[in-house]
Amino acid sequence: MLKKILTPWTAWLGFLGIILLGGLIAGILVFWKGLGITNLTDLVPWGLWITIDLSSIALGAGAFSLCAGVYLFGLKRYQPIARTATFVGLIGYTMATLALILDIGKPERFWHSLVYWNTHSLLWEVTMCVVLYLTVLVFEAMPIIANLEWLRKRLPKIAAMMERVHHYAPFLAIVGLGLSSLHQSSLGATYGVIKARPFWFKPEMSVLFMLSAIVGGISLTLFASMLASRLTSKAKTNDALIERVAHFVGYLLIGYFYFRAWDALSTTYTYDPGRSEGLNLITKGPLAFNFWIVEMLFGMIVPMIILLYKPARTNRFWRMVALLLVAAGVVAFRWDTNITGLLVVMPYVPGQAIAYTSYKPSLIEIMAGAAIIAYGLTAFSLGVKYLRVVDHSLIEEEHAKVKVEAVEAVGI
Amino acid sequence: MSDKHNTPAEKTINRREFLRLTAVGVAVAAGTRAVTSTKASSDAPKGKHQWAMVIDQSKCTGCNYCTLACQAHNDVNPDIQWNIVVADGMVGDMQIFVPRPCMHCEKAPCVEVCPVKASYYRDDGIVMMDYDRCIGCRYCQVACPYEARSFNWEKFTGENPAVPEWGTPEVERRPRGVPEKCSFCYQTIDRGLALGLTPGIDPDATPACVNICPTGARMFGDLNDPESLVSRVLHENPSYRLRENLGTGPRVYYLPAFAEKKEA
Amino acid sequence: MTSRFDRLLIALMFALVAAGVTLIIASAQGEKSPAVQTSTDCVVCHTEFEMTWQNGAHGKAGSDPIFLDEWTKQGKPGACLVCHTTGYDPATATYKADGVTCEACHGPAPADHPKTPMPVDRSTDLCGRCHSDTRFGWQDWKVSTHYQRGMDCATCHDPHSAALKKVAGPRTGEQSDNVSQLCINCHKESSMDFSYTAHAQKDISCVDCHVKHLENGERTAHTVPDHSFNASLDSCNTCHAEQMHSPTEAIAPEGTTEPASAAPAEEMKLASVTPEPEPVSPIGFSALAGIIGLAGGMVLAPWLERWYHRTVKHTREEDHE
Repeated sequence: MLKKILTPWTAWLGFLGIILLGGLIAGILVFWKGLGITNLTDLVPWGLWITIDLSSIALGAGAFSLCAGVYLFGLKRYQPIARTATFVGLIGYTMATLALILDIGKPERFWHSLVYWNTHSLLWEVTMCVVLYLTVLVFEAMPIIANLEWLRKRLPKIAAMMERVHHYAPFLAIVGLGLSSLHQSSLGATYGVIKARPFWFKPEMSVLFMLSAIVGGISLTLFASMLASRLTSKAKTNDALIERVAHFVGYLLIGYFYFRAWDALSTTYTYDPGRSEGLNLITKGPLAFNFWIVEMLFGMIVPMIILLYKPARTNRFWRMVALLLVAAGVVAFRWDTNITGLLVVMPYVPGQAIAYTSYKPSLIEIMAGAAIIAYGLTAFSLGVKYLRVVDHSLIEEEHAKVKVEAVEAVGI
Repeated sequence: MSDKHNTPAEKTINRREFLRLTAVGVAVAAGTRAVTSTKASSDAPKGKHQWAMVIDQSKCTGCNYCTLACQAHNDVNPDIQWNIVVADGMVGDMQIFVPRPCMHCEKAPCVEVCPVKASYYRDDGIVMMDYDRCIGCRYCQVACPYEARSFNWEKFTGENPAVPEWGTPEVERRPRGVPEKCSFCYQTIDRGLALGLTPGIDPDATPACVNICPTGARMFGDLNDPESLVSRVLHENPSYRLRENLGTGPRVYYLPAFAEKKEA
Repeated sequence: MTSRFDRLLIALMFALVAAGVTLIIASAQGEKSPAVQTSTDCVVCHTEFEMTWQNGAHGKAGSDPIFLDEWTKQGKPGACLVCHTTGYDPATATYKADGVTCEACHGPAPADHPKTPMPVDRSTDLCGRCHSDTRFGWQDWKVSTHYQRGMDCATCHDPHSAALKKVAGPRTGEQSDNVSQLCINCHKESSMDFSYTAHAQKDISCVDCHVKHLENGERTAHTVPDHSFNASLDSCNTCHAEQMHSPTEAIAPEGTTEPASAAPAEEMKLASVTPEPEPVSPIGFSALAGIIGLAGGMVLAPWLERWYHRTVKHTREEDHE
C-alpha cells in the first residue's frame, strides 16, 4: 500500500512539506519571540533572509526581460518561455515578500511604506515598485491560472475573463519593464548610496544588480523549464527555443563578467579604508571560496564557455548545468555584497582601526529560509502539474481556440 | 472589443488602446501625487534654534555617568547604550575618551533612507524617531556611520537598573522590533522651553548627559545664538567632528585634548 | 413560577451589579487633599524612590535608634529636629514629617503638580543646610579639587538613599559595591596600578586613606569624613605609626587580583569585533580542494581508468567467465 502512495511525486511533495512545516514553526517562533532568536546583531542587521529576498527578486527577473523581448521587441516565438518566466517571476516575488515580512521588526506594519512615503528612500522605492510589479505579475499570470481545469468547469466566466487579460500583455510588459528596471537597479542602489560603508559606495552597484538580475532570471527560467521537462511528461519544451535563449544568455554573461571583474579589480588600486578590507574579505578571507569559485569561476566563466561553445550548448545536460551555475552565481553575488559590507566595521572614532565582525545564520534563520525556498519549489511543481506552466505547445492551441471562439461569437 | 482586429496575428492590444491605457495610468499616478503629501527630506530644515553639543575631551574622564543618566532618563534597556564612551588613545599619560551620542546630522543618512519617514528632522535640528511608524527594516542602522542606533531585538521588560539612582524615566519604553537612539532629550528641552528656561544653562531644559557630567565636559546650546556657551566655545577653540569627510554635518563637536590643557 | 435556583441566580446578578456600580461611584470620589505633603504622597507617582529612600540614611533619619537614644538622653532638644525632621517649626515645636522627606530638599509640591514642574536644586548648598556645620568638616570639602572643579555632593552620593553611587564595569555590567570602584571610575589612572599594590591586597580602599583619616577609623555621630580627599601623613600614621622609625621587611604581595574595571562585562546581542577577519573556513578549503580534485580527475580520467582496470583486471576476467 505504501508503495502505491509513495510515488516520486508524493515523495517530492512530502519532502517539501516537511521543510515547509519546519519553516512554519520557525516563522511562528519569530513572530512570537521576536528577532532576538536569530543571529542578527546591531553590526549585522541584514543576514540570510535579506539575501533570500534579494536573490528571489533577481531570479524572478526573467519575467520582465522575456516579456519585454516578446511583446516589445516582437520576438513572438519566445512567448512560451515568457509564459513560464511570468509564473517563475510571480513565485520569486511572493518569496521575496515572505522573506521581508519575516525579516522586518514589525511585520504587522508592512503596509506603512505604501501609505507613508519617503520619496528619497531607495527602500521605499523598491517596496512600492515590488508591490506594483507584483500586481502586474498577477495580471500577467492570469491567463496561466485560467488553465486550471476546475476553474474552467466551475467558473467558466471568470476563467474567460482571466484569459482575456492576455490582450493587454504588451501594455503590462511595458509597465513591467519600467517597474522592474526601477526596482532591480534600486536594489543595487540601496547599497550603493551608503556613504558610511565605502565597500558599497559606488555607482556601479545599480548596474551590477540589474545585469545580474536579467542574467540570473532568464537562466533560472530556462533551467526550471528544462528540469521540469526532464522529470515529467506534463512539461513539454521546444529545445530549439531554449537553446537560442541560452545562447543569448551566454553573450549577456560576457557583459556581466566584464562589469563584475572590473568592479572588483578597480578596488585593488591603492589602499582605501573600508573598501580594501572588503576586498580582502572576498578575495582572501572567509568569503574567498564564494567569490572566486562560486561567483567568478562557476557563476560566470564556466557557463560562459558552455553556452557560447555550440557542442556544449546543444548537450542538454551541460546546458542545464551552466544555467543552474549562473543562477547560483547570482545568489552568491548578492550574499557577498550584503555580508561583506556589514562584516567590515568602520570606526567612527579617530585613530581606531577597522575591525571585522562575523555572522553565521542561526538554525531558525536556516529553517525559515529553507521553507521559503521550499514554497517556491512547491508552487512551481504544482504549476507544472496543474497549470501547464512549462508547455511550449500550448500557445498554438490557445490561438486556434480563441480564433474559433471569436468566429463563433461574431456569428460567421 | 472590436472583432475586426481579433485575428491571431493581432490578438493582442492595438496602438490606440495602448495609448489610452497609458494616459489613464499616468493620470492615476499624477493623481496620487496630489493626494499624498510627500515633502521629501534631504536636508534638515533651519528653525529658530539649532541645538548642538560640545564635548571637551580634556575634561572627560570616561566615567560613563552620561551613559547611565541617559539609560535612566530614557528608560533604556541596560544592554543598549544610546551614548557610548569609547577609549581612544593617550595624550601624555592621560587616556582620552570619546563619548558618542547620536550626532543629529544635518544631512542624516538615517533620515534619507527610512522608507516610511519614521526618522525625520525637527525644525531645531534634532533627528526624531516616530516609533509608531517604524516598520523595523533596519535600513537606518545599516546607513548610520556612527553606529548610533540600537535595535530592540527583544522587548525590554523588568526593572531598569539605572533607575532611580541615575535618574527617572521621562519617556515611554520602546516596543520590540524598532531601533532607538539618542534624542537629545527633546522632551526635556521642550518642557524647559515652555517654562521659559534656556537649554544648556538651566538643568531642567538640558539633556540628562550634559547635566550629570561631573567635570562639565559636555556642553549644550543653541548655535543660532552667538552668545550661547556652545557658540562661544566653538568660536574660541579648535574643534572637530566625527567622520567629517562623509559630509553628514554632525551637530556634536569635540574639543581635542592638548597635553598642556590636562592638569595633574 | 421561577425555581429557587433561578431566583438565587437573579439575586446574585443583581448583587453584582449593585456592588459594581457602587465601586465605580466610590472610587470616583475622594480627591487628594493638597495639604500636608508627606513622603508617602510623592511616592504615589514616584514609586521608584520609595525603597531606596526608606532604606537609606535620609529615610531613617528620624527613626534611627542611635539618634533617638542620644536625643532622648540629651533631653529631646529641638535643635536636633531641625535636620532630623521635615518642616520643623521652632516656635510651635511641631514638624511636618519624620525624617528627611521629599519636601525637605524639594520643597512642597504645588497643587497642580505635575502640571507645574518642580525644579531640582542640585547645589552643594542645599545639602549644606544640614551637613555644613563645622562639626562636619565642611571647610575641607570647600578646599577640595572636586568642589573647585564644580562637582557637587550628588556626583558621588545618591541623594535619595544617601549612599555612594554604584558604578559598573566598562559596559554597565554588574554594579559594584566596592567603594574604590566609584573613585577609580573617574580616576582611571589609578585603576591598573592600585589593584596590584600591597594596600589593595589587604582590602584597603581609596576612602580608607583619602577620606577617613579624620576620625582615626571610628565614625562618631555628626562627623563626616574629610572630603578634602588629601591623603596626608596622618593617613599613613593610622596603621604604620610603629613602623615610622623602625626598619621593616619588604612585604611580598599575596598573589595578584584582577582589577575589577579590567574585567569585561557580559554582553548580550552585541557582536564580537576582531581586528583580523575570520580565517578562511576549513569547509571552504576542502570544498575548493574537492572541486579541483573533480576537475583534475576528469582530466586524468583516461589514465586513472587504465590503472583501475590494471589493478582489478583479474576480477574482471573472473566475472567475464
